Amino acid sequence: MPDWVRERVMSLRLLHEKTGRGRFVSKLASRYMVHEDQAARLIGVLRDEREALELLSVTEDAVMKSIRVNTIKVSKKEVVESLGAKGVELGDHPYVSYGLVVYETPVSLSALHEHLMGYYYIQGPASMLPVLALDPAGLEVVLDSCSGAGGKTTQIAQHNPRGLIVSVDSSPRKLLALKNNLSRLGVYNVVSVRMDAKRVDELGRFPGALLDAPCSGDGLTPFHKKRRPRSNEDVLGRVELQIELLDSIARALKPGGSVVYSTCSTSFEENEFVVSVVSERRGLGVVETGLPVGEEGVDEYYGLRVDSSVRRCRRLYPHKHMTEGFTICKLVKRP
Amino acid sequence: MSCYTSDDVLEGYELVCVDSGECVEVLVVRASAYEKIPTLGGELAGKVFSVGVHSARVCRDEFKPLLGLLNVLRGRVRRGYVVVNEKSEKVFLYGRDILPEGVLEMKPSGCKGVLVVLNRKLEPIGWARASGGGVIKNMLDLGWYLRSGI
Repeated sequence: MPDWVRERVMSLRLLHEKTGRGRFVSKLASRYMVHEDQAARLIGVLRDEREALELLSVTEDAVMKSIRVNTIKVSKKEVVESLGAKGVELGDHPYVSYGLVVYETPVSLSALHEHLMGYYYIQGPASMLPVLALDPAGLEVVLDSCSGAGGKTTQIAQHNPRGLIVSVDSSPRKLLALKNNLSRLGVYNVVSVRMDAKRVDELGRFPGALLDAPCSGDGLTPFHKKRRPRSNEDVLGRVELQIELLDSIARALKPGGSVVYSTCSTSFEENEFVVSVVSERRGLGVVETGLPVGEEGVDEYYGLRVDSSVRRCRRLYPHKHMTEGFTICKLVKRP
Repeated sequence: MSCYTSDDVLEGYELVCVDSGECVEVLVVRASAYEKIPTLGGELAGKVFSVGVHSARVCRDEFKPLLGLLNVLRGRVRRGYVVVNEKSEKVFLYGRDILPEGVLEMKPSGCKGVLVVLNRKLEPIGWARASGGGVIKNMLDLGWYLRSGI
């Protein structure tokens, strides 16, 4: 890890050490079975203990379950009719035109014939937003770093079926899943690359990129099975990786190019802090995401201030938006 | 492709053939995307995992179509197909064969007996081969995506 990354993360470590916490943090942590550090992180971004309690009390039932219609193959109307005939109750996604909310289904969504035929992709409601923020239509080439099984790669292809999409991941297992998803969904314009995503700048220069970064999953508290006790030290390990990943993309961007950085975390450390470190170092500006939903980003956290432009980031919360917790920022490289 | 449809079905696509030892893997990629790869200007060699959609395999001169090829044929199959009823569709998608009573229509093309299997809505759901006794043997069906666990 480069020294400059270590030094920047050290400033967060020192902040954590000197930040006191009241008894409410332990009560909250104990009641909702999260790490005390996580309870403190939440209070730090929400700035309201009662609101942190409200967020942690949200259970899975209150979060929308959703699918993304694969408009490469089929229309939303066709999917609604076809699934409706099988007893699946659907409604419109409030923020994404080709998204559907699933209220009831008699059968597992992954077992339906329409899923096998590639008519939809099962995707979380907030998870569909980063690609909208990127707006990849018309870009000659788009980089999807840490693409995993290709949820966002295939969504980018819906907006841009003719440009080249370069999907990068280090895991052969995930790249195999991506390969199958591309086949199932009928996406023909992707090159998948196996490499360490901290070195994507070796691939060339891109006008647009997406990084849905590996994270602590702080935003997934409504999902009991995904709830993991994450200490601040756990989170800082991820912050180091996130800075290096975003820094590599910043080097790989063409002047004037844009990157959307997102995580399924609500922590300041993994979002506004990472974005401000890299944007300062590489001459990127944080711009409006253009999204119709979300709270402002956080520019002050337990006394630590970052550039106020991070307020253009968008935060989604389970208790306010009925989605998984998510943070989305858009950055542009100065010409 | 003339076994199933007109030859121009792959217009706008490039075929990338990769020698995997005993077989040649055929990948179909959109031409407009493929031609941009050299423009990246970086070091892609040795890092590519896959390109486009893995659509077929040729082993010892035997052509083996894969599920990815069904996408380009969707709505364009004119011959070399069998249409099955709803019950047979469900059974087929579990990896089973098609019995004669499940066949609504069949139009062979004479290309080594490999047929596209279509459901009642004429959506491609897999590949099969006609055999003796009227049974259509399952070669590969869309249910593989679920069964593969990948």
